[in-house]
Amino acid sequence: MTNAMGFFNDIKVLPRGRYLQLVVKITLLDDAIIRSNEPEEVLTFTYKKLGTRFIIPWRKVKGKLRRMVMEKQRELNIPQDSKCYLKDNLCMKCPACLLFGGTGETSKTKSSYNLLSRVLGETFISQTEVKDISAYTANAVDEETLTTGQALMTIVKVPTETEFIGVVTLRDPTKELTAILVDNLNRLTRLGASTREWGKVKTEIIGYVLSDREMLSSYDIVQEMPADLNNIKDLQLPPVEDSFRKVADAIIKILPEGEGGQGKKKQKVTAEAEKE
Amino acid sequence: MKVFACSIYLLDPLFYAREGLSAAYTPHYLHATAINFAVTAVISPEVTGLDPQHQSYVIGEHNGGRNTPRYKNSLASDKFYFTPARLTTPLKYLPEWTKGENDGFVAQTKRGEVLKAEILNYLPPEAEFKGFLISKTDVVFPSLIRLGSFRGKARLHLEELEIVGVFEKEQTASHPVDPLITKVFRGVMVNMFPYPIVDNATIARGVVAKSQEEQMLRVIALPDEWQLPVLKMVRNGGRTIIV
Repeated sequence: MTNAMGFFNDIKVLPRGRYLQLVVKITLLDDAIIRSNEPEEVLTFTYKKLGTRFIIPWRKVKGKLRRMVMEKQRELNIPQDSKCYLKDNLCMKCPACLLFGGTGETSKTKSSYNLLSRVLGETFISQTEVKDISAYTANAVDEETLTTGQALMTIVKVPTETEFIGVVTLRDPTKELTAILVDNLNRLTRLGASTREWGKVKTEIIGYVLSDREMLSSYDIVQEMPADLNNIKDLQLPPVEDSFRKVADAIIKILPEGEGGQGKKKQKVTAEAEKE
Repeated sequence: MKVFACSIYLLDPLFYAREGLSAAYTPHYLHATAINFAVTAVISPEVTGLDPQHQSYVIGEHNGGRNTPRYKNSLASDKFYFTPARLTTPLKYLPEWTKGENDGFVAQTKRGEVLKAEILNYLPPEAEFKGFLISKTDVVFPSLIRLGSFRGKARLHLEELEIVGVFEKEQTASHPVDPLITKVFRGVMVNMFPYPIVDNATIARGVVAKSQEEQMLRVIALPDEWQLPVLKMVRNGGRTIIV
């Protein structure tokens, strides 16, 4: 059930061993605050082979990306019969939940199933070694006393024009799932903390590889860009709005019956049933 | 039967401990369950013989239960078996604050509550684990696998070893051993999830192998339910053994 380019035409409940790997470049158009928690910190890692590099953990990109997908699907009134939002109210039956997964137990919907993420990522690594880290002192002066008190802090940031490379992988891609992921990667324009002020970025998909297993990693790509990348424009992806609606309809077929889906019946395992 | 030395090189930080029991520190061993199921997740079920439902995108009561472990032990396939692996690079941790958002291993944040998060201690990229692979058939193994709670990328490298003998008397294995797969007489228990493994284990049967470059012999345990390979000794003299 694949098309000429090797994409699946439908969504199935079992993996079919195909991986679309998108090589993604994130360029900072402004300074960005990429930190784990401490205010005076910027995330770097010293590799033996690569030297000291700025890094962005995948979970920071994934969280933002998922919010972008959910934002877009809300515009299209998906899901129609319930709300879906991070972090406690995942509906477990919309395109965002299908793509990024979810645990039914922790959601307010209390679904009896979990969804495994179809989108896999990895640490984004800066293309160049760390040379300078910019610091910014923020204060808030009381107009009457002209003092700052506790409202004085230093923010440490990754400098403008830093380029990061990462690989985002979509398992068992259809054209529609790819269209949703690609559109929302391109819509990812802010990253990190305090994005109302900082963290303007440009996200580009440099190319893709479709294979029966994962072959690319950002660790290798920052050392040497692979020569056999395909151009994402050659895919001629369908409009993203149509893709969201088509995927939303398709999910119902794979979810268990009794959970709003049309798939296999939910089995209740009891001691009596086990004896039988 | 073929035997390989297996190296697993981390490209991403690795975390797989759980707070409370292991204090959120990742153990410096890789369990055989982690390696075998990471590899079988990449290879098609036709090759591994694993029930496809074990890798389903939708996990619920209809296919075995949401919170039910889907394996008895680390033997994922009857065609190949990766032993547990040991960290061979210096142990250092990469601590990172992680807001798990109710992922189960960090505190849940609620409205109006000061943000709660905890430090998870990852093993850093470029750390390397070494173990062994025993393969009954010619399987094309992947070069990249995903490990741990956050499914970080790791590179799998295999080097075929020459089997120079089998043994059926007590020997100390060159690798940590999964006690649910291979009978262990003595050893040092390493506490980790999903169940302990045994390092410096004394085992009863297995194969002896060596690499082309190194003269050092490796003692590798076989799963108890697997038969020892039949080897024909052609010549044995001085430093040379031809099998």
